[in-house]
Amino acid sequence: MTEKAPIDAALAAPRGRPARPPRRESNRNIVVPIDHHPGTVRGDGPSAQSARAAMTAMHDAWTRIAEAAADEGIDPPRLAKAAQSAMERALTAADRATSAIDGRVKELETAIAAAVQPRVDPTLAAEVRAYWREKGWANGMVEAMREDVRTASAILSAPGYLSGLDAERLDTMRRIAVDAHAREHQAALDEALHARRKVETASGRMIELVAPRLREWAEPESERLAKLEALGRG
Amino acid sequence: MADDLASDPVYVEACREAAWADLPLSETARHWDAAERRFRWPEGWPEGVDPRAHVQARIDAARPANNDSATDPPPSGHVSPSVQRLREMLR
Repeated sequence: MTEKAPIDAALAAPRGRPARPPRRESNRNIVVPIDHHPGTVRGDGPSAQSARAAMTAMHDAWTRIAEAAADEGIDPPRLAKAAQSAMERALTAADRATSAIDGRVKELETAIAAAVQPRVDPTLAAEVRAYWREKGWANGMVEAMREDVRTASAILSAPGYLSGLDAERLDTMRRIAVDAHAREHQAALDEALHARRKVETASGRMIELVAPRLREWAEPESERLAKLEALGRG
Repeated sequence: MADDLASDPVYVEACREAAWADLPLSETARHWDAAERRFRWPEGWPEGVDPRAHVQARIDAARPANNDSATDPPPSGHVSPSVQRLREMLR
């Protein structure tokens, strides 16, 4: 068996794409994700407005940090300090909005419970549950839940088995009752929960994406050079 | 007079642009496509209205007047949970 010359072996080897040198990313390139734009908050209620104001504060700070970072003439430690200050203000606004929305969520949950489960005489409630346990949910319970809030309250305020329902069906009945008797409150609650998620996600992403850059910028160049020199000596 | 204006295409177009520009932010947000990460404007968005400028103008209007304080020192005293998290990451 003849051995191939090194040049032939090299030519015979399957060719892939030549490896590109890795692109050097500048740590001054800050991207402001558009999905954290304040215009992406749905609704016009108080929670949406709180969220939009907080998102505006964050978006504004994020954009200004990106603009300042793009200016290579700005000293990194100074940039880090100013950026941290701007971020802390924006994040404080975000946390305030989250607390306000949490308060609103509690109010709405209480309002929904009051609308769907008003107080019903315990004897009557027990009779309602016994009636449906015997009749079976498939024979008109859905309509009764929609039309008569006392029926809804009696069924929802006790374990499902007392009305002949398993946990899943009891949950379905709860949703039907809420849709019939507290639709507006539920819409406001959905809006508040969406608004809260938007603020929480944006503030979390801001910290995750920008904080590492702040760390890098905060380290003075002389310190990085000192570390390199120490490595050479060690 | 009103009939004359109704048949004036320039006037009608100006009215249409004004109606679009007066959309609340929440209405504008409905046109956001999260999957494609861009606004998908419906038919009829007037050419003369720049969506970005429109949204930015709305944000500027909602922004508090005195927020030019990026170089202020961080507020002292009580620290909110997110600020606490940021400071821990920077330690």
